[in-house]
Amino acid sequence: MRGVSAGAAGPTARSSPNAAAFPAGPLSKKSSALVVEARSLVVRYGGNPLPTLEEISFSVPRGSVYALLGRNGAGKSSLVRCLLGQQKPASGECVLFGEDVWKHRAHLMAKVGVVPEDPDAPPSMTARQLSAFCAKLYPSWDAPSVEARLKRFDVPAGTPYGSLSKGQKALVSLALALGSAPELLLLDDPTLGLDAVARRAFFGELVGELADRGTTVLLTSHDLAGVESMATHVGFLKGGKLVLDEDLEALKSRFRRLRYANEQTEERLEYGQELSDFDAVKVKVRGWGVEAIVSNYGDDVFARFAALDGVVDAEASAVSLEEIFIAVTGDPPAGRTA
Amino acid sequence: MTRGLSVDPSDAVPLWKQIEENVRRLVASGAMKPGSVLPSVRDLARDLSINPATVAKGYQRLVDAGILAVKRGEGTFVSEKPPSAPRGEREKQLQSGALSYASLAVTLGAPPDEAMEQVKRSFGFLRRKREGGTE
Amino acid sequence: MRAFAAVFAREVFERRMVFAVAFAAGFVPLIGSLAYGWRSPDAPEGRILVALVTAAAFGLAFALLIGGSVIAGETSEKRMSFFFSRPIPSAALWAGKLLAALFVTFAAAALAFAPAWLSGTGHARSLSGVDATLGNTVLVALVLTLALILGAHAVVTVARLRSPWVALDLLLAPGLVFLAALAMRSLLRDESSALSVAGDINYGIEWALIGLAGLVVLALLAATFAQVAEGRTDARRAHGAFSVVFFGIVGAAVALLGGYAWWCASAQATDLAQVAGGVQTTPRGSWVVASGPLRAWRGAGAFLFEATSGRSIRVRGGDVALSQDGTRAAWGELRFGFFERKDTRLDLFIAELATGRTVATGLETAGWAPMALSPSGRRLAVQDENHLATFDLSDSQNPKQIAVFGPLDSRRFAFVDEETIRAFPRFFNTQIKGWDPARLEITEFSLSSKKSLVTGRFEPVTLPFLGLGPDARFFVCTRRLTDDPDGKRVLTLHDGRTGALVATLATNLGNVQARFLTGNRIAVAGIADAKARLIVFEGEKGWGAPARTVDLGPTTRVVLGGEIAAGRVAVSLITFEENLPSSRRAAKLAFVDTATGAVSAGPDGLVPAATFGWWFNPVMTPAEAGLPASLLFLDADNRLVRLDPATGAQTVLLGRSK
Repeated sequence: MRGVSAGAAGPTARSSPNAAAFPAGPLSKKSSALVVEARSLVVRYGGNPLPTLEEISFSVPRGSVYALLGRNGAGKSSLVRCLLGQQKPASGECVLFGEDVWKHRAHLMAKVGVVPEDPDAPPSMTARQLSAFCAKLYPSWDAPSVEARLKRFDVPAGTPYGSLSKGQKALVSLALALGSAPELLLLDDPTLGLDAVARRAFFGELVGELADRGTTVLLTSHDLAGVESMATHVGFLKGGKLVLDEDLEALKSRFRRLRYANEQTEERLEYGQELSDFDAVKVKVRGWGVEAIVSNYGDDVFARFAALDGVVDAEASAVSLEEIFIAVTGDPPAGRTA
Repeated sequence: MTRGLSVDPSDAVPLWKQIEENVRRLVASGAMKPGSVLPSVRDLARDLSINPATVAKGYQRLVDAGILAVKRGEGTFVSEKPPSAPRGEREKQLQSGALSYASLAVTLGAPPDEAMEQVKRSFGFLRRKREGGTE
Repeated sequence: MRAFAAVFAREVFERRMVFAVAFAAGFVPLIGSLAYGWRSPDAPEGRILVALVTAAAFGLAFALLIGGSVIAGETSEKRMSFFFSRPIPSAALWAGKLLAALFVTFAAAALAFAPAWLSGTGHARSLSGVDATLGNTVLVALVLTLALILGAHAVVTVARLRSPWVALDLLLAPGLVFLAALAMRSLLRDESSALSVAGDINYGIEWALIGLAGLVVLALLAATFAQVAEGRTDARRAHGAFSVVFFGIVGAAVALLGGYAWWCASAQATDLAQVAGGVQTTPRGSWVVASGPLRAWRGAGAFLFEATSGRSIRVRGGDVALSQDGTRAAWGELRFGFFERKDTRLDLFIAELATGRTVATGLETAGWAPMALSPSGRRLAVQDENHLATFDLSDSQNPKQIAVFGPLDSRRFAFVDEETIRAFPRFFNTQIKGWDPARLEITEFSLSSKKSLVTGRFEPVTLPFLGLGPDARFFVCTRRLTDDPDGKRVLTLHDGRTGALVATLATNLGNVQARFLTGNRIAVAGIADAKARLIVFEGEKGWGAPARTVDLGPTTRVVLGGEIAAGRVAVSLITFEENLPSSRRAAKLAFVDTATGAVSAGPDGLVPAATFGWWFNPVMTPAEAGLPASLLFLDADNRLVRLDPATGAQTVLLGRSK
């Protein structure tokens, strides 16, 4: 990427002092162990010279909420399958809790709760039967909590999974994923196709889980607004490459939208000279002046910029995660889902 | 109660800082009286649909600053006693806040007089709020 | 184990409706039986048979349905991730799903069968064939069910996972089937040709087939495991793992089978473990026909073998005709379809012994065809059905037909010279009433005039005959003395053209043998009063009385060999130890000078290889003394040995020591 956090970030998430008062929540955990690690992951499909995933490396620290963002075809599903030990990478490895997940899938999965992108539970089984099945597999299955969650979600526990609505299926998957009190939750675009009610219920339950147990979460999503308020880390996946992997707070602190008037705006060649101190990822000339998104914002740099000759009425405003995503990946917002 | 604690995830200011500042403002304006109870981390996170760790971090900083107090098993309260930060610490924090405000003023091209006027008005606003007893 | 039990239980529970359907179907035969009269004597059997059909249909249908869906179907529907994202070891997933499929299918069939079975009588049960072999039936049904399930799984894997591996599958599956078929064909052909050499050959080919089928099932099991363990939810990789393991195992097995078949088929004479029953020799030249157990598992083979050079030619047929000058051999090989011998036709082959080349003549005859080569080997006579066909083989690849004689019944032939063939009666049973006296005629066929002429006839009592003298001038016959407990035979000498009795050579010998020698002499060997005796007749002095009788001492059996040098005949005396296999024979070789009757001892343990068979054998006529073939002996291990009579040195040519 274009350099690491250059902005004046506040204390970062992992350096909170005196954390004893609020044990809930990942930021209060001192453990810095990495729950998920992808090491130089390459996935290739036979016959295709271009790898589906190209040298992907990132890690998810314990207690963090890592949001993996990318439009369809960016390699998200392959990455998720690799991380779950269901697909063997061409090279590199996926490590969960310090162990290679391809080799140790079965016992690692005891610590992982998964909500898949496409509902995959046997369609003939009811939620209650699914819970009973899982109870035999996990050492500490909490069947009552699953029942309680289903009740909270208002999902019928006695209806075959295949007959449930898309939103209900996602909620059953979440209830099952949480039933084993997992250390890692992997949510693969869980809110895709969910209505507002189901989506709210889903996030509400997720917040409760985070508050109660500080579970580490790795989620992929198209719902950038939802992710923005939940994630501690984000990764952008584009064309099989991880083009960004950063602490969300640091990311947001270094991105700003600058708006200013410029006497030379009508002569397009001239604009941008004054932006030379910034890494401008996107510049647009508007009727009223120039709009630029910069990725290395800092108050002092901005002060110097605002004082430049020819820069008039400069102002800096926050950039949403969605805008950062678009600016960095160049993917149009419409392409996020599909 | 949590209305005044609303946050904007797309704002440049980190969410934990937004919570910290909002609570400070509510306490300073008297909207939260000493001894009044704050929503739990879990409830607030759920209401705001944000990561509970963010809420916890904001609360933690307020506790560290003495604005909030934690009673085990009962929750988080606004401190009865005024914050008793050591003088040096208080000065440092004021300095940091003032610098931040001054930078804002400079970058907006506001002259110092105008900026000072705004500070005075804000003090007046908070005082009226406190005496009025309502938000 | 917990995970396996959970998966197994879930898979069975998911298909619980199958049990209900099967249970209901089980009562259909009973209801049918009620309608047609429950108490009718045939009713129990009818119920069981109907139930058997129902159960088989259920087993088949559910095996295919469940087998196709249980792993491959779920992989293609992207539902296997549910199991893989749970703490279930791959082995538990594999075993749980497959065993559940097997259990459900088998239990469904059993449920459909049970009511009729329980309602049946013991008699009806035994009629169904299931009763006596219940255990075996269940086992076979289980294996078949598993094979069906795995087969359906394999087909769905190939069809639905839609990976590029399909190309490999489509290439390898028929390729391996073809290779396996080629290997089996080669083995069957070997077995078939071995049958014409030795009677009790069993290559165990049916076991090889059962083994191969079992291996395919095992390979499918292993491939399915690899598919689950190595492919997981990656359909492409799953298919790849399946294909690699399956074709790896089956390919290795087919390669082994093919290697074995090739190893068996490529055997040379030097691979004979031993030479059984002596060798067939030519009057000239150094080629012999040797046969015996071959290196295949209980295999056997026959070869043309040149004693001096060690060259060999595989003969995949029974009787070999050799020309008297030792330049050519002819035989018929059973024509072989892709998998089975076609007993009806023989393809004729000629071996050019000078070059060691085998030539397919393009001629074919009926399945059993006696044949003879002219003294020079350039002409062939072969009986095809009821005709005698003659060919000019000057160009062996393009034989030209000379003449066809007939019709005639089954005969033996010998060339008197290049132009004349003489046909003798073959096996004939004079006990049969109403036999045709014409079948005892001796007939001559002239190739130049293309005419046939009856020149003489056999006396009925002289049959069966035994051997033919030089140029078919004489033949000898034996007649068993019907009331003699020792099996003594009368040996008579006849004129080859007319069949007229020339002389009686022996009347009181057991184990009697005769051999025409050079210099117009005949040697007769046999046992009288438990002692071996050699009698020499000299044509110059008239055949009526023996010129010399040599007593060789006590023995159980005597074997008369050829002339190792002019006038010197090899004879082995064999004594069997009581109750011991023939391999433990003790043989004493002696050389007898037919002119003087002097006996000199040869090396112990050797028996002449080219013996006088109890069958018509025209090539026994010697052209000269001391032929390479006359110096061949079998040792105690039935190895073919060449003896240097001057030094007594032995060279092992064929066979291995035990």
